[in-house]
Parts: sequence; structure tokens; C-alpha cells
Amino acid sequence: MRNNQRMVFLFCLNLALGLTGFVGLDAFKTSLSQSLQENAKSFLSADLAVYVRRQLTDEEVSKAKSIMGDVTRQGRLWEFFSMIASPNGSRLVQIKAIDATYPLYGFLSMGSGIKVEKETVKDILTGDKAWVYPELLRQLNLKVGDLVTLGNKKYTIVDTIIEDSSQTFRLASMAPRIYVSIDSIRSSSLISFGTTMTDTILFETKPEADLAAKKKELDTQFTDPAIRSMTYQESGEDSGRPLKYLSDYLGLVSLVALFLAALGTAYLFRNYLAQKTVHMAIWNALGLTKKKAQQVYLGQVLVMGTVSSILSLVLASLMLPALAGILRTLTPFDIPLSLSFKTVLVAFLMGTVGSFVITMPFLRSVRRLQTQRLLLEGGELENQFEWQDLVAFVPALVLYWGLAIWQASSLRTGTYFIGIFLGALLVFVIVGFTLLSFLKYVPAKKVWYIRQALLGLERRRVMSLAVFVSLALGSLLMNLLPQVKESLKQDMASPSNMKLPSLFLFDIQDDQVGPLKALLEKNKIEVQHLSPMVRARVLAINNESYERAEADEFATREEEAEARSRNRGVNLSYRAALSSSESLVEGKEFSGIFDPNSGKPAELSVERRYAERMGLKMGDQVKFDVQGVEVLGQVSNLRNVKWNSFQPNFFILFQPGVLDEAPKTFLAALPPMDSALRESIQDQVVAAFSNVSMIDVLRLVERIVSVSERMSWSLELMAALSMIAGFVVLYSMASQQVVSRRWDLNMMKILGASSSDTRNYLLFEFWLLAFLASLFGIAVGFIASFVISYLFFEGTYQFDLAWPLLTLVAVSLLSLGLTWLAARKVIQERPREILHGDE
Amino acid sequence: MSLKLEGLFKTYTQGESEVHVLKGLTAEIQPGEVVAVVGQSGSGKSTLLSLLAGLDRPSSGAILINGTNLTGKSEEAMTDFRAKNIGIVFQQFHLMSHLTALENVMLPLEILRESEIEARAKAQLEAVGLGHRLNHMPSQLSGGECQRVAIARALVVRPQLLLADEPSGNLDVETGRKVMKQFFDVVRANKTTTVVVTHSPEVAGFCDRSLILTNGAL
Repeated sequence: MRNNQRMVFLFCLNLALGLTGFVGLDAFKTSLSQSLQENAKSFLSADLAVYVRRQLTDEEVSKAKSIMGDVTRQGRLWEFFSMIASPNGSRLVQIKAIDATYPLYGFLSMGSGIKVEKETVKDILTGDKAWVYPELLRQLNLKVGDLVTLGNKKYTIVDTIIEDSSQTFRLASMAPRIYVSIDSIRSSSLISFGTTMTDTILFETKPEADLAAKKKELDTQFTDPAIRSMTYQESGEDSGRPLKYLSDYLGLVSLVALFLAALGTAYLFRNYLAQKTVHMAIWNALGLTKKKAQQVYLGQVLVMGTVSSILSLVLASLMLPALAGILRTLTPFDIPLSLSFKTVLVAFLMGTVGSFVITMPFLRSVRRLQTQRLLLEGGELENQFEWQDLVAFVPALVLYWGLAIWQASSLRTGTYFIGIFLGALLVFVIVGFTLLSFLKYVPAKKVWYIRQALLGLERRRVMSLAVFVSLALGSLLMNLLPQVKESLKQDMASPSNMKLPSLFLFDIQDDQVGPLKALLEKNKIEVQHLSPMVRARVLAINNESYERAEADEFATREEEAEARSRNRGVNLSYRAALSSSESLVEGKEFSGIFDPNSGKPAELSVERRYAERMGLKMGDQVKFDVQGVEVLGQVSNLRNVKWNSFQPNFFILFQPGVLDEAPKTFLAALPPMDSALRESIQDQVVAAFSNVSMIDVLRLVERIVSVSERMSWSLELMAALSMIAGFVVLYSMASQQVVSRRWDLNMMKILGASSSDTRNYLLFEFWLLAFLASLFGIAVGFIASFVISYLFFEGTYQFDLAWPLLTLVAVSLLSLGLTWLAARKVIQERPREILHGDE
Repeated sequence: MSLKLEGLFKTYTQGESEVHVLKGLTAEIQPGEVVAVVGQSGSGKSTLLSLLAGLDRPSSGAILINGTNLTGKSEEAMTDFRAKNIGIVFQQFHLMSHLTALENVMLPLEILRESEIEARAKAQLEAVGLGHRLNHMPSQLSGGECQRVAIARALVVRPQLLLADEPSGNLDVETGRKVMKQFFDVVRANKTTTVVVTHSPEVAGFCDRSLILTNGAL
């Protein structure tokens, strides 16, 4: 190893870079999980909570308390969105209505300097007072002491909340929070039939309480699947879910870097062993068995793997501040990122086991060494790789598959990733192979080094393909994310070139529809997409009971998602025809108004992805409990919905004539209008209908785009790591090629080539390879981003030329720079050594 | 082409000591003459060859080819001169492993931007008896065939001076004999001034005369 420092350096650099993303992410996940567990009770403000997305009845509250039995403390919490009005305008706010016990765990740090905990006497409990988040004061130009209106009550702002331990991730916060007492809300007009709210009973249990058993009992005793319970551990997991999803996808991207690193490492080791064949034969002739020789090289691999692990830990700890910086913009609290013992262990395991499985196929070939050929005059000792050796790559593939499942926390996603990745790899190899085959036909007879470079690329196919695949994959990743992001931005701002509504209204009571329309007409505004919403739950599908999922733990994310959807009640609506944001996928449109005498079930239209999740097919019969009344429907069509149209849309639609008489609320959208009119309408609606809530769609879109941009930064960071890994592969291969072609290069000089021609020969060869790879990667990136846009954004595609051009220029310049760096010594070498025969 | 060596010295520095490899060589080789340089290992044969090929520069003295002193040429001028006038055959062949026999022979012509490259390379390979192995890769050729390709590559530019470094050193006796016979037949037919560095008395026997190099002196 001492005599092969360049190979050792490149081997370790390759592997370390590949491991860095992986190790950094493991540190991130471990820190996140630890932080969530530590803060879980604060997030929930309880040990266990029972909640439902409506108001709990007195019987349900008594039942929950009786099941929980002897507890230390209990409290009640209502959360819902509503409009707040002030002399300076109105805004959507998230109301938290609390009682004297809140928070059972955690704290609120107030602007006045007070730290509110469970024992603290809370001033908002006496009279109509409110604590608000500071951003609300900024938005409405208010100050502590000012009056605001919620429903039919006026509240005095008595303090601001600087830190709220129950707030988890900023992703979910659509509006600033306001804390008031639950008693004041009870006597307001805000809670009425169908109000979108969450009613929670919080429990602080005795230390010896078995929370899992209590939860199970609650889930069994409450037959309504809408009533759910949650332990603080689940709350911790739930709170971190968006970041966990993000880190899982980051993990998959980091696997690409790992693959590229493995590719570079394998190539280096293969050539290293090939160079050492004569040494091995001599050792063998001197008495060292082939097995022992194998062990010597295995030892080297393990040492290099260990060094790579250490290097990756160092690099990962340098990367953590960048990840922490991105996180800080997504979470209200700092997550201290550090390398845990588990992360260090993962790094060492990956370094050693990983390098072993990567190099094993080549180590196997040591056994085939033909030492006797040393004795043959002119006999060459070649350690040829055979096709059967491919079998030895199976453990590496299995390990890679396992890592993908681990990173994605899902068997299906991990397997899909491996499938798509291997498929893409195959396409890259086939295209690369074909492109390289055509290079020899390129007419380049006038400039000898161009012809030689083209021939070299075509003939040294393994090296060329490895560099091609590495840089093409890197370029693909670097371009895919920005392209998708551009499409997402475009789609959010203007989905399928539809104009976004300005305001989205919800919780409109049945009897408010007429007056609301009249108010808007007075302002010459027409209500768009006024849609009824009826609460229901699924009882049975095709006569099979649709039970609450009992699983405590889920093996895969899919099981978890499926269980979560089963536990949820459904919001139904009805309309005669599809809206402009919907399109039919299968089946036919509703036949008209339902005829109860037809003897047939009512027609249902189901959103395509929801149907997939629920396992619903055309013709399936679904029985609903619509507020105590059983209603049967049959799936008559599946449809796509553009959710980001911000029009009122539903997973399940009934044909008209079925739910018309059911108790309901209404949703509506208002057409685009200038900001002054929007503010005015908002204020007028709040004044006239205090319970009606409104979302400022443009502001929400800006927020979503900003969050998605911040999340995509981290993905781009990981993609950049893959690109760097691709360049390290290029540098490794250029270095190795220059060393193995040293005599060829010197021979060219002897035959009359100038140093500049020799340099141009190498630079052109690697530049062309990098350029073609990058061009192909970018092209595939375009196609893939188009497909993703088509599948997820249904047609909105924003072509961005700047980024691919930048990638192409950067890849070209970097490939030239790295090749020059790798080759400069040999290029400057004088060829006289060749005559001294000291090869 | 005539070749004249005048008081040629070559000294290398090894650490703090100096190694005198060539000590004032003086010799003259007539146009078309085939000369062997023989001597033991370390006698300075290969160093002499690198100086003749212009791959290295003497510490002092002159190398005159047709009256032109090589030692005064810049590196670029020397490279150009070598490409056009000097052919070199190596003990280790040094063929480009990724090129066919034909492509290997075409390479020096391509570098010189000559015309009728392929036809000339084919003719040269046929001259060394490899007309049937044009599209074979070096790995598909025997040692003797590889050396014949290397000879063809050296001769294809029609050099006025041919330098050969142990041309049969890497071949078995029988193959070496055959290859050498062919080599000398071709150089004599072309009337190429040739300097062959060799250990082998048999190879030296093919030459017009031998220069014996002992401890850096003739």
C-alpha cells in the first residue's frame, strides 16, 4: 500500500465521498429521532390524547375519562381555523382554545418574559383575552393591548408567544396561532354545525401507566374510527413525519452517490489487482498460497475501507452545518446535529462490508492465477475477469437493495428505486456502448490526437462506460431536481394555465349561502365552485366491513399510509358534472339525479389515487354512515383532480339527489381580484359571517413554494454530492489511465508528438466523454422531469435552459481541469526512460 | 545519413555523487552502414541510444547527423527532427495495446500528417511479413509478430537513421533469429543507417561492424 499511494488515496477518496452523504444523513436521522423523542411530550402537551375532528359529545368525553381511569391530570383543547378581525384588516388564524391545565407538558415563552407551564396561572382564562404569535401583530399592524374580534366576541391581546413547545414543524403552520380560553370560545358563535375543528382530551398519566394498553382499550371501546388516540411517542413520530419523508428521499439520492463511489472503487481495485498479477505469481512461486495472497489483498481492502469510514465521518461532520442550516428554516427549534455512536458504527460497517462486497468479485479471480506462465518465455500473466464473476456481484446488489429499503423505510419504494435505478443504469450502459461504438466512424483524420482519442474511447470500453455512466447519472440528478422544481413552481402559481382563485372559503353554513352570495354580488363578485360538504365514514366496501386498522407498528410506509387512510372519516360532496379542475379517467359521467326507486345504488365518482389507496375499482359498492343514515354507493367513474387549483375538490362525489338533504357546510372559491378588493372582501365577510374562514390562496402558494424550495435545497445538496462522486470517478479513472498509458504517451512523443499534442489528446478524450455523458444525463433529466411533471402535475412543464447549459459548461471545464491535474506529470515527462527498460 | 560522435560525455548526478556514464565517445558511421554497439549491462549502451535519438542531451560533446549538431536543437525542433528522420525499435515493443497492428504502424504517419497513410502502413507491414495480421490487436499477436509490427512502425516514416535497442531481447532464440534476419534484410534494402544496441553476438554478426562499449568508452 505504501508503494501504491495514489491508488490508496483514490480508493479511500471515492469510498469516503460515497459514504459521506449516507453517514451525514444517518447522523441527521438519529439526531432528528432523538430530538423528537425528547420533545414528544411537549409536542402533544400530554402523555396520551384522545381526539376527533369534530366536537366530542359529553358521553364520549365521559367514556374516554372512564377508560383512562386514575390519571394525574387532564385537560381539554380545541383547535380550529377562523378569521380574526381588527381595525387594520382580517386574517386567518389557528385558534388554540385551552383550559387551566394547558400545557400538561412543555411551555410557552411569552413576550412579557413569563414562562407559561401547567401550574402557571393564565391571565387569558379570566375574561376575553388572547395571546398571539408575533407575526399576527406584524401582519395586522397591532400591538399588545389592542382589541381583535373572533366570532361575535372582542378579545384583548395581553401577551405574545415567543416560543411554543407544542409547535413542531413550520410546514404545517398555515396561519399564526392565537391562544384563548375554551370557555370564551364556548360562548362565542364560532363553533357551529360542521365547523372544521379538532377536539382533544389531554391526559397526564401516572408514571406506571401502560400507555400502549390504554390506547388499545380506547381504540377498541370507541367504535367510531374518527375518534383516535395518540401516545406522546406516536406524536413525536407524527411531528417529524415530513422531515422523515424528506430524509428518506435524501437517503435514496445519497445511494446514487454511493453507487458511483462503488463504481470508481471497483474500477480502481480491478486495475490494481491486474497490475499486481506478476507480484502474486512470484509470491505464489515463493510459497505463498493463492488463498493467503487473497487474504493479503482482502486485508488491504479492509484497511482502506476503515480509512474511508474515518474520512467519511470527517466529511459528514463538515456537511452537517449545511443540513442544520436548511433545517433551521423548517423547524421552530434547533435540532442539534451530531455524530452518534450508531452513526459511527454504520460508517465503519459500510466502509468495511461495503468495500468487501465491491471488491469480492475481483478478489475471486486471484484463485485462477496461473503461476506456471511465469516460466514460459514471453508468457503473459493476465488476471482476466470472467463473466461468471458477475455472480459475485450479487451480494453487492443485495446489500444495495437492502440499503434502499432501509433508506426509504419502505419495501415497495426501496424496490422501485432499485428497479428504476438498475433500469436507468442499463439504458445508460446501452446508450453509452452504442455512442462509443459510433465514435470510430467519426471522420477525424486531419487531427491525429482527435482520431486517437476517439479510437481510445471506443477501445477502452470499460473505462469509458464507467466514466460515462457516472457523469451521466450525476448530470441527470443535478438537472432533474431543478427542472421538477421549476415545473412545481409553475404549477403552483398557475396550474394547467388555470387562474388561481384569490380566496378559498370554508365552514359556510347552509343558511349563510344566500346572504353570502348577496354580499359578494353587491361587490360584483361571483362565487365560484360553491360545493356542499357532508361528513361521513366508510362502513363497508362490497359488503366487507371496513374496520379500524389495529396495527401498532407498520413494516412498511405503505401499510402505515393505508392504515392512516382507513382511520379517517371522509368528506363527501355532490355535483352533477365534473369541475374544470377534474378530468375523467375511467367510467362515465353521472347519469343525472338519483332515482331512489331505481333499485340501484347511487353513483359515485372517486379520485383515482384515493381509489388506489382504498383498493376501490369500478363497480365496487361502498356503504357510508352519513351522520347516522346508511347510504350505499357504487363507483361509476374514476377521475383525476388538480388539487393545486385550490377549487373545492373531494375524494368522493355522489351524484345529485342523494345527499342533498344531509346536514352540510359549504366550500367556495372567489375569483382573482386585486389585493385591495381582496382585503375589503375579507373584512366584509368576516364582519357579516364570523364563523366563515378564508384562506388567502396567493399567500399560501407563496408559502408552499418557499417550503418546497427549502426542501429541494437539501435534495440538491445531495445531488451535488453525487455529481462530486461522479467527478472523483472521472479523476480516478483519468489518473489510473494516465499511469497505465504512461508508456503509450511517451511512445507518442518519441514518434513525434509534441507535449501539447499529447496533452490535447488526453484532454479531448476525457472532455468528449464527460460532455457526451453530461449531454445524455441532461437529456434524460429533461425526459424524466417531463414524465414526473406529467404524472404529478398533469401536464404543466416548465423548460429551464439555464441550468442544463450551466451543467454542461461546468462538467466540460471540470473534466478538462481534472484530466489535466491527473495527467500533468506524465505529460511533462521526458520519454528517455522508455529506453532504459525500467517498466 | 552520416553520423558523427565527437567527444561525447554524459554524467548523471546521484545524490551527492556523479556517475560518468559516457566518457568522451568519438565515432563515425557512414551512410547506409549497419553498426552494432555491444557491451555489458551498465556500460552505457542505452544512454548512448537516448542521446542518438535526441531523447536526452549530452553533458558535453556533439552528435552530428549529416553535419548538423543535434545538441543545439530545441526540444520541439528535436522532436520534429526525430519524427521525420529517426526510427526506433524497442526491446519491449511498446505497441499501443488498444490499436491494431495496422493502426500502430499508421500512428507515426498520422502524427507527421503524411499522405496515403493507410496504404503505406499496409505496405510496410507486408514488407515484414504481416500482411495477413493487419487488424489484429497486439494481444492477439505473438512476441515475434509484435516486434515485427514495431519494426514496421519504425521504418514506415522512411527514417534515415534507425536505432534498435536489444530488438531480439524479448524473443525466443528461433523467433529472434527470424525477426532479425527480416529486420536486417529490410534495412539493407532501404540503405538505412542503423545502430543496434545488443548483448547478442549473433545479432552483432548481422552488422557491418561492432563498436564495443566498456565503462562508457569505446
